[in-house]
Amino acid sequence: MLAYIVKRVLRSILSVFIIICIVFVLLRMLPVEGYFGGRYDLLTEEQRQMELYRMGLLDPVPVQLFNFLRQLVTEFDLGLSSRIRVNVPVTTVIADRVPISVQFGLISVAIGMPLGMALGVMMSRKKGGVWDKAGTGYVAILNAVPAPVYMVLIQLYGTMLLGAPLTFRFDSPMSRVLPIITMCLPIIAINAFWMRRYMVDEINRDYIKLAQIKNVPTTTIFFRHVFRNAVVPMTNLIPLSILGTIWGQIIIERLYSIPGMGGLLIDAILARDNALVQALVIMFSAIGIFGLLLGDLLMAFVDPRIRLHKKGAAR
Amino acid sequence: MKRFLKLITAAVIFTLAFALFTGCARDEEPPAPGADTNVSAPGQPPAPGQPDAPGQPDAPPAVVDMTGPHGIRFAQEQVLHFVYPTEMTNLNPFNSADSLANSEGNQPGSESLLRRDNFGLLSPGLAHSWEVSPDGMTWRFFIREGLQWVDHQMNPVGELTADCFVAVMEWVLDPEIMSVNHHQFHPRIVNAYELWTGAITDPNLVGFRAIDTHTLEIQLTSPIPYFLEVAGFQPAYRPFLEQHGMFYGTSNYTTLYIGPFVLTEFIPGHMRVWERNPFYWDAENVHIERAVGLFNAEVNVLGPEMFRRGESDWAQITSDIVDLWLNDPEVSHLVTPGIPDHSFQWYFMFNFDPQFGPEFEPDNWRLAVNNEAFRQAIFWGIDSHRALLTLDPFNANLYLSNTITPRGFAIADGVDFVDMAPLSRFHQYPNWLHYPARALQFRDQARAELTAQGATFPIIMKLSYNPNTAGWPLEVQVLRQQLIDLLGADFINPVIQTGPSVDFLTAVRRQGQFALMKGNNGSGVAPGDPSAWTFAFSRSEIDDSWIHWSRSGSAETQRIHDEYRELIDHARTLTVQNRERWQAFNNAEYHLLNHAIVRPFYTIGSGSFVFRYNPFDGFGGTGPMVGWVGRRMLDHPLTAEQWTLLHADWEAERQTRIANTPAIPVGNW
Amino acid sequence: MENNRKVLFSIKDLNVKFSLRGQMLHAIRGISLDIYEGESLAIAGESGSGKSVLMKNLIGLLDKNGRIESGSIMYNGKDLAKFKNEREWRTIRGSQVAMVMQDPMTSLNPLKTVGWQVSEALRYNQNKRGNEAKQCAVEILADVGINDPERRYNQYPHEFSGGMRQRVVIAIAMACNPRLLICDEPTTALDVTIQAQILQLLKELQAKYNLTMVYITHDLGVVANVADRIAVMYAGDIVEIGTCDEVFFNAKHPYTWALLSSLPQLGERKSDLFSIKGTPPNLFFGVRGDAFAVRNPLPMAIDFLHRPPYFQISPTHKARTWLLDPRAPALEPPEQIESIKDI
Repeated sequence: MLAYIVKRVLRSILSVFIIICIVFVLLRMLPVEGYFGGRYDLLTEEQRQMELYRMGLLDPVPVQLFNFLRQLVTEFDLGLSSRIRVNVPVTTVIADRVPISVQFGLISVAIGMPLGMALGVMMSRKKGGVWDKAGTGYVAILNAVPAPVYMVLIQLYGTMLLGAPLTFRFDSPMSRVLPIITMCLPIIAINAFWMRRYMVDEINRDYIKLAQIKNVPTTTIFFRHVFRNAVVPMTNLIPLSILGTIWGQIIIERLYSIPGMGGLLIDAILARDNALVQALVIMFSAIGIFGLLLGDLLMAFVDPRIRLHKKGAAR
Repeated sequence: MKRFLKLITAAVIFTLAFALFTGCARDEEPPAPGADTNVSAPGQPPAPGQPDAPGQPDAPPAVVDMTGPHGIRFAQEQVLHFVYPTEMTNLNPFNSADSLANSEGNQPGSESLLRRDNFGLLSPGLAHSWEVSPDGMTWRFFIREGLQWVDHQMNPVGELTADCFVAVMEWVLDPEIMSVNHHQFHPRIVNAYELWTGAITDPNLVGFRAIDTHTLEIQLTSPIPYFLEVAGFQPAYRPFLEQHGMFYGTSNYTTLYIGPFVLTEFIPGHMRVWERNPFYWDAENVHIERAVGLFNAEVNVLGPEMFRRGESDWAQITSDIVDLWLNDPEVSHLVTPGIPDHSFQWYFMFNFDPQFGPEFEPDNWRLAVNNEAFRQAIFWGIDSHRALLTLDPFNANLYLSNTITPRGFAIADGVDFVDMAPLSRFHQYPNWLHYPARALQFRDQARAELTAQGATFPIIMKLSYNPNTAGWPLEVQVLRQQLIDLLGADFINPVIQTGPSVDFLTAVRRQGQFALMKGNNGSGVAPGDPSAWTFAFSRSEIDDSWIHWSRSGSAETQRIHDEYRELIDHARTLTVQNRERWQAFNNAEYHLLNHAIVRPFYTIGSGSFVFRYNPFDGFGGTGPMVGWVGRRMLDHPLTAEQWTLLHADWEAERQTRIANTPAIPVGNW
Repeated sequence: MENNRKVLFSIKDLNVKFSLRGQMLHAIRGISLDIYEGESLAIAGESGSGKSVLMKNLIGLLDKNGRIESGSIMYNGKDLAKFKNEREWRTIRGSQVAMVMQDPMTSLNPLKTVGWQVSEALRYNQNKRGNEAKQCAVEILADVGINDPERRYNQYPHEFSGGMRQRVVIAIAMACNPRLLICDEPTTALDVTIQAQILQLLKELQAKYNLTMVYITHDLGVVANVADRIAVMYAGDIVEIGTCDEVFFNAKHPYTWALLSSLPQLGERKSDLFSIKGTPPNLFFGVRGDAFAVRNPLPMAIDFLHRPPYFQISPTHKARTWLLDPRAPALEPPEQIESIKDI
């Protein structure tokens, strides 16, 4: 088991390394006009070359890549932001935004995941019943209506109803309510959907019939056998849901002026802030891969049939 | 069951660890956000009994009369709330030229030698007066004495001297720092370019030095008549600047303030709080105590609603909701038009060197565009008023223009540039140069002449547009239809082509991929000087004019081009900013329009806005992020009626001020 | 009827219908059957004959779309056919009637240890908990032939082979301490060698705990091994029932003849294997006459018109076929089954 984990971790590092190399090269294949904002026209060719030289963009790409990796590994220095927050270390730019996204995200997951799973369980109890119909309707509407639309509507009318400020303020607890509710909605939907599906799968199994024959009461069967077994595949999602809060929520953060991580990557790419893009890519891919690894480990922990060994997980 | 409990415990520990780790991710110790939103004022004036420090902060403004002209009433609490969609990337006023968000954002905390008053006219800033040498090559600025630099907590840190300006020059021209403001210094100032490229390393060789503690002397490479317009040099406190080097301006506590406000709180991507700086030299004219800005990327959608709820004091009512507002009796009386911004102009331009594909018949176009009658037909046939209605259905007349140079942009000796002959002749046409009868005349003439040259009809005219620009897609449709209706589909066939939304100018304008297109430029290159509107048609370094008319291949067009160059070159030699210089530029522009090389369109600034302050009060602009000096918040939104009256007052006063502009003193040294 | 044996279950005129795709399927068409205490009854028939459905009624596990239309199931003075809710069935399930299901690979919960599953049965049927339940479970596991039961108690089903898992399922059934044990094709999914072991185990357990067994099977070989009585079902009806000897050596119903003929005989080399032509009837529509008539190689006209009643052949043997009517022509059973006697 330990050998397996070590091997997975090493492979993860290799994956992240490959990703960062690809992104690094891609960034440098974009047209250079983007580095100048609107000033491209105002400069002579010589001046442009000078600025590019100072940004370190005139060296051949492999040399640039080598320097970047060397700096990263020996000094743990990911560089300074060049456009988003000029001359601020990218780690600071990121570190200033991570806590707020994680806070909102964790609360939403903590509320939304149990609620979603509960909804999924209620939906599965009676096929075609009230809960099932209501829950399916909810998931369908949430998927059909584009997120920006319902989110803006919630913001405009919800703040009126609650008497809350339209955007988030640090000193107003009331202003956190609507962003969190909005974040919970898709979380509830996806958890309910999958939970219901796994529950229905379980209910139809032979060993559930055996439990009935064994004279186990129905409610006990429902929770101790059906639910307990259905949760197993759900656990695969849990680590990534928690770690994924670091990615932020781009639409909600934009609407509510939450200074989080969502949108930072896009803004960085558009602004051609290479150092920040690279740092974010490393971070996001590492978290994603690590989240998947944890998910697999969690499943192995919870499902005794899964034995992780060198040949790869039995899934 | 035991297994399950182990699992739950592990999950809880893991989550807590993760939350803790990310929560402790910040290394530095900035002031806690949101903790202290009151006026934090450890920066007390020197306690009594201490020797009088030169930087005495001014007393808070005296109680003012709570009502203003035309029935407006001022608010008890003078706090400005605004929302902004683009975050600043740095807090360094002399590294902000690349972005409007930065230059606007850094404005309240800084000031330069001169400042603009609420009429947009230059007036003394940190320099109380100035002189120019008789040959126009050297300027001297006299800096106010006794002004204090303060930090973000309003603690005085040091005195403002002329050396502060020199410190900025050295910082900006430092090759290691890569400041985007370097254009301010070269090529105008002696040896500035050499310092920036590293050809010389001694900053003392640059024609920008402090000849005593409060006198700054600037030497130019050649006389610039409009130099005061571009003399917006800003200072920085040298010891602080050296301490932080390239990290100056990376946060509100690595910046010092000399302007009317201090940035006491700054959370990038969330909010900023400016508080009135009692140490500012003109603090008694600053009535706003605090300005709170919220960042929101969706300001178009949320802005108007925030204004309604009192969470912001300004909003732009965009064209998709302006109808809603005008039909809502609660708010319809609050919607005011935008003030024309004469620093940016749009015009229609022909392309004389077509590089587009054969489906648009470039050779045919080349014949047509070089025929003056054809151009004149288009010139008088375009109905720019109708086209602009797509962008602003209500106040289009405020923005349309009969000339390339905007009205109100350049005024000398009491006369506006556009009202000088021969250019003023274009004002006699009533409908913004739309003259159907004349257009038809020229059309017939063009048809005859072009048929003789072997052109085919209808002439295909490629109309390109950038789909990302608001309103342009609709506008180009209206233009096309209107030309067909007037000139006939058998004469002209305007074909609309969507341009790429990325790098539009490179792909379309520079590559000559259009026949007729709306073009623009700003006056930043020569503010307040008519030469600003000539660069699009005659670049001086590389003749890469935007209409490519030096490569037209037609002798007639070449002649017109050469004549224009002659007029421009002559005008540029007149280095004193006065009527003679302007007359020369006036002649050049008349020449351009007379031969229908370019067709004027409109100036920016259109839109509908709502205010909770009088926009005509503020020194430096009418928008929510500028012009806080002199401005007063109202306790009610401004009505359109009040706006009209105030605007009329403002225009009248402005004319008077301009007529009485003093001449620049000439130093006798 | 044997007078000295007590009737445990008495099914009378049971009719069960399923509503499927808007139509009614008549799955059990008027069955009457008595199950005697301590006996070992086999119910044989092909897939779709209704054998599982019949037995599910004894434990209340009829699918949701099925219902008992008429008839009664008497047990201990109570009519199981009238049971409406969970509570009533919980008095029967487990402690009175237990079941061993067909596929041992899916019968056990993969996420719970084997021992725990046995203990669960103990808790809800014999009210044993904690350590007491564990001890008892270990004993039961030993009983069903699982070696090293102490260690095996803590293992998961995927650590057992197919045969071992079936033993576990049997152990669970034993833990319920039932009066009646229904074995629904208990060996179908197992290897032939394991089959014999499991059947042997069941016989031992029956003797030891004085159980009444009902075997549902389509494999007459199994039947021969374990059953006292055989009931042959076809199309929702019992067409022949009698003691093992009687049915094997003196079958009277053509379907039984066909079934017996289908048994591949060891030691005989024939050109073709015998198979019954056709498929079981569609029970959506009513059946007219004898359900087997369509597939009967030698039907009589009356087979298509009227449903035959039971004809008693001996006090313990009866069959539903017009052939036994005095007016019918005498018909010898096919020769294939003559050789059965020799086995």
